[in-house]
Amino acid sequence: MTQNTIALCVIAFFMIFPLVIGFAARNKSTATSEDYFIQSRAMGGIAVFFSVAATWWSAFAFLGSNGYFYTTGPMYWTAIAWNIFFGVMYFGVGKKIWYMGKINNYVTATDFFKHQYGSTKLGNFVAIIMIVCTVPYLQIQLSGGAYLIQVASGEMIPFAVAAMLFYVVIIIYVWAGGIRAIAWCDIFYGVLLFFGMVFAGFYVASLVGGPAEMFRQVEAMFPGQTTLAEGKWMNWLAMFIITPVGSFMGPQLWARFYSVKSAKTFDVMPFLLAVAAIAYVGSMLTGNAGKLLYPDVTELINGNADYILPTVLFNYAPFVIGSVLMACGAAAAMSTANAQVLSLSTVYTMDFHRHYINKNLSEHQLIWVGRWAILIFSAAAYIMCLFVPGLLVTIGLVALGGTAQVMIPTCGALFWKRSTVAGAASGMAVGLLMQILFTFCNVTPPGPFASGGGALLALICNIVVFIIVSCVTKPRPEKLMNELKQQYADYYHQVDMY
Amino acid sequence: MRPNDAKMSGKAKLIWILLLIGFACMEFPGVFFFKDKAEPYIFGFPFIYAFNLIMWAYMVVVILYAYMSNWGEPKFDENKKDENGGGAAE
Repeated sequence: MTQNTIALCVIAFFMIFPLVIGFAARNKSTATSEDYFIQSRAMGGIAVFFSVAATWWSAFAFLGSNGYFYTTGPMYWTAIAWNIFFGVMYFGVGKKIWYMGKINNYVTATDFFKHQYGSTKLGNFVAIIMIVCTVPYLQIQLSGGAYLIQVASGEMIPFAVAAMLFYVVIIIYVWAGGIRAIAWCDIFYGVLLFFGMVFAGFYVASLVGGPAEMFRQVEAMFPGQTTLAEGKWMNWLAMFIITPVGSFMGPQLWARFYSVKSAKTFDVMPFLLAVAAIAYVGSMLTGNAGKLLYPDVTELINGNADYILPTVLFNYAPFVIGSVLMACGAAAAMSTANAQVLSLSTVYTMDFHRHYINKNLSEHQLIWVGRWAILIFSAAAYIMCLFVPGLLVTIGLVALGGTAQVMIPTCGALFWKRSTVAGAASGMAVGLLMQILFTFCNVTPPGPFASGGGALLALICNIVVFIIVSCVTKPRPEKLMNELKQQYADYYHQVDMY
Repeated sequence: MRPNDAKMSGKAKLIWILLLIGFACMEFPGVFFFKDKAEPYIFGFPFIYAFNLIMWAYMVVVILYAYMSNWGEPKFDENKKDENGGGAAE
């Protein structure tokens, strides 16, 4: 069998298998929007774990992490902590959101804000933030996945075609099976992703004599590569906070709060996600070993550090292993992209179309609106992936910095009785404004924040403004607060929880 | 918005404090105290990598303990649920 045939077989399998799962999931579906978007709140623990892990780990994790280790040494090692942080948030914040969603029938993040703050405008503001910040993040999944398919095929499939292929497969199975298809596919993707990251790391490290020998050589050839660069502590800290918080507040994760069947799933998730964080050892090994094999970034595919793993595999690994590992990377991208596409569609359909364009849609019609929205958002991401190049981590951090701003009013609603609509809106507005200034207007953050801490500074300002404005503005209506107090009391007393 | 009659237990506070200590250890010593130290190598890994791996193991143990002890909250009582006909816990 020729290399080309092997490559095409591997890619075909990774493209066809999700389609089979998608159509199987469709047969289990009921014709309601709640089932299509949040699986009728009945997703089992295993599916939740793999779906959350695979959605949370994206091309950013599989490709971008290698590139970051390659260029900045241990900077990305903060990831092992942020993965644990993500899991702890899933329990500490996600479980409360799930409970409130269950008793109040929330389907989107917007529903949460509309009810908890009693403000439709605030809910719409959050929905806009989510859409605007998720599309670029979706773009990097398509870019990452398409490059991997391009490399796995031995360059037989050009980037634009690979991206289109990627996009079409996702659309078909999400269109067919909604979130159930995604969750089922994510079990497959999640396993691939975890073992792919670990195996790739140890494989690439073995090319330079194993991990211990690799680090000795790295230290000898690139003094300072095994320590944090001077003055980079802010970047390290900011990534630890912004990456998990931003991802956690993405609409795709909100859907994975509401979809959960049992509270017990939230209790165990931090442990499972913390254990899974060890997969980052693979990225760490890949990035460092890659530095020895390709000291000059211009030697990499496209001269882009994100492609250190594809470059090494393409040149050193047996073709079958290389193709399979590349497909694992594509799985990482696909498992995030599928969730993002559906969640964007959910936000549009349930928060905007249903309320402002046609209020009299049947459940069947709502699903169809969601399907067309999937097509449109995917097309936008496809166009961006062709025409807006950039490092995966860089684009990802900008997008995550935006969604991270939503965390403050979310925690305000869950933990602070005095939080107000004005506080939530003004805090987010200030945070986003600062994020825009630092990202698009070449404004350098002041003091220590100048070294990669812009998004963190924006988040801190959001908190300060949120607290101050909430303290000086009118509290939420007493009737609403009484209703919410009762619901939170029920939560803490575990009424109808287990 | 925790009600007054459902105060956080001592065990729950301990769990959250242990987690905070773990996060602080993973984030701050590396950037403030040994950011420029590759030595000593542990298990063949430079110090900052090895240190955070050890802290990862610590966090996994703490979180496992948290899970096993229901995050320090009173455990759901199946019998009580049956008696009440609802989902109330002890």
